[in-house]
Amino acid sequence: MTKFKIALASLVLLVASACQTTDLPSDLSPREEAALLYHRYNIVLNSVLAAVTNPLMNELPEVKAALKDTSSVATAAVSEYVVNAGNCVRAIDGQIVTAPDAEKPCDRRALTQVLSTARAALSKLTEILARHNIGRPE
Amino acid sequence: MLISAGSISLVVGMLDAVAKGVSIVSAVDALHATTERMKSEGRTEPTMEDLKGMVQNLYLLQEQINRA
Repeated sequence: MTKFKIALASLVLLVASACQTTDLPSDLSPREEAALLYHRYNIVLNSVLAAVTNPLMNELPEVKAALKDTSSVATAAVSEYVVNAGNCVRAIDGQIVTAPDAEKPCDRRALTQVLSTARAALSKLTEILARHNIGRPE
Repeated sequence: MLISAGSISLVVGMLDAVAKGVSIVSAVDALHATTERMKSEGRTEPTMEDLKGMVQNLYLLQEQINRA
């Protein structure tokens, strides 16, 4: 069980990592960046799915519920990022620009705020994990 | 602190997830495969339809998680 808890704590880090864009290559177009974020988060969701279906998770019902809630919020945020980024073309000098086929304008600052929502949900999950001594030395 | 690079490796094995962790390398590899496919189709970056398909896939995965 201890190893499983360590794995869960690591999983939270993976989710957090997937929601970061600061370490992405700087020469990507917004759409390429969105695709890269998708690929990262797709891997995370597969890990979350494996975690919540693990029989050991039945011993941690509150953690299981929190993990599902958090991944749901993060999925919505990442999905919004991916679609909105697809509406953007590269911004020049930080200006907001809109692609010809855009369904709505895209503001890169707004994209960052979307991911902040996901990270806030992660903070809440981290607190719940801490209550179960997950992510702390035992 | 129990969280370390080693434990990140552990999560991959323990959870029997997709054979690779969320590293920038694996994601870039995946993106590379996507971009290569797009190039072969004469495109340079994902279309809106590509991105919407990706999002649909995320929500399908999330549905599976919610049902678990």
